[in-house]
Amino acid sequence: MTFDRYKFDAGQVIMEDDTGHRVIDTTAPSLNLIPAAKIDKTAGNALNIVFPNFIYAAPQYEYFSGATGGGPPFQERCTTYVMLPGQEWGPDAGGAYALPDVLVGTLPAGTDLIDLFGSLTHTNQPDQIFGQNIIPLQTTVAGEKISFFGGDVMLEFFGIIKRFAVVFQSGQNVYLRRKQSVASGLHRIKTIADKYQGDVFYQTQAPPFPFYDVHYRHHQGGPDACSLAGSIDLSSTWQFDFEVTPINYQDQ
Amino acid sequence: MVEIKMKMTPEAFALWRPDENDNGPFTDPVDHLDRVLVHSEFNNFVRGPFATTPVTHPAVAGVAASVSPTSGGFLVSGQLVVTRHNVLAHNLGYPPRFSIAVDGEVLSSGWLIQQVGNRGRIVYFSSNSTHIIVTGVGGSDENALPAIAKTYSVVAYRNIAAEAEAPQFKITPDRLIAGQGKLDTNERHMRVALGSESPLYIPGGSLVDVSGGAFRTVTPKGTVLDQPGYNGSFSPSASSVQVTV
Repeated sequence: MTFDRYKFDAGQVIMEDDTGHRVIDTTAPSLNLIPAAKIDKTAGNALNIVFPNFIYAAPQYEYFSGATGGGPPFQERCTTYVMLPGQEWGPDAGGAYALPDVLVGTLPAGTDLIDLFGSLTHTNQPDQIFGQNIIPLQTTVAGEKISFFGGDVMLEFFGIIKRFAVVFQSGQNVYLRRKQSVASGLHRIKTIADKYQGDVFYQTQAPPFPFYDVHYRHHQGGPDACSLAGSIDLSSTWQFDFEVTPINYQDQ
Repeated sequence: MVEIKMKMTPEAFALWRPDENDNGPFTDPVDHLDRVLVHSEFNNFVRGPFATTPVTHPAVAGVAASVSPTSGGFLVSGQLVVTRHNVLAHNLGYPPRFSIAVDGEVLSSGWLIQQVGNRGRIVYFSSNSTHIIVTGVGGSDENALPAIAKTYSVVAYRNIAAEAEAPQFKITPDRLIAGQGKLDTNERHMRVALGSESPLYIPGGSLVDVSGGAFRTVTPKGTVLDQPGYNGSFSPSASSVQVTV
């Protein structure tokens, strides 16, 4: 009987299959999953991860009036908008933009990597932006699981707005990090009020028409101006229902 | 020379690097991870069904700017289209762990695979009891997002449980079984790649960032792809791990 598929000497153990592939080679260690030390965040232990509402700039007021040929105005319009400025949220952001990392659990010493396996549910969705949803990228279909290395999870996508999370190892701790970002600039994202009036009747007067007297009806401060009181809630909550299993591969 | 110790009892099987001849890694492997190489209490990424599957992610037609009834008078162009592709029929009867690689790089959950101006496509992955699925989310503007072909190397990993009636250690000229079936030379599992093997790169940590309202992705080999407007300076802090399955 020969055992030429196995080697147990010289500080090395090799076990081969019938193709010559080394199933075990202690110089190229296996990635061991450590189930006894897994962090179980499933079912009742699932994490509810909140991405807060953004911080908005003052509403923006837009007014125009129409006239032709130097004649009196015949229409006017006012519109006000919720304004979203560019902003960066995360653990390194200061003040109101800080999103502290969430402690998920602890790992045994010697953990080299983490394995993530579970599902994601978008439990609280942001308001729409001009009738468009912020697209959830990862909501797991019932009965399905996601499985990944690296910990990165892209969560939400809408042109100027992105959200993502990463589950990562720091020493023996596992944290969940949130980041949310809005493109630089100042963005109109919701109409608060929109008033239009055509066929405006102005009192008969000989030109020049007294500008302040005949319109400004919808102008800011006018008798029928658009409201400046508007809000939008773009906060979002994701349920992370998953296991974090330590991996050891004897990084030498 | 590095010494390696192997031990089997009716309860367990292990290989470890001894330290003053102790049995700690055998009796309490979780507290001795730095020295345990193989232990019957551990699991492995045991290769189940696998396939290399080409997918053509379809073009997303451009949509000319128009005033949406709900847009507040704003011009809205483009559309988002979600398509699902079964990339592996595994039929294991449960949703398994899996890995999906493109060009030898294992991708995380949610990955930017295409960016053409402001148009782009993100893919993410899932498993159910019969299939591994790639879901693509493609977005156009007034111009179309072109179709793109990707080839996904997909592996489903089987759950292997110890079999109570199986021996802790059995060796024949053709096959070695240990840990009541959890280690079996008839099965392949993920391990560090030898220099002679073509490796699969798996992320050693985070490879994604967001800043300026845009994503940056860095593949495990270091290829950077930014969405327009990305204004951060992210680079991965952990090296990828080269493995074979």
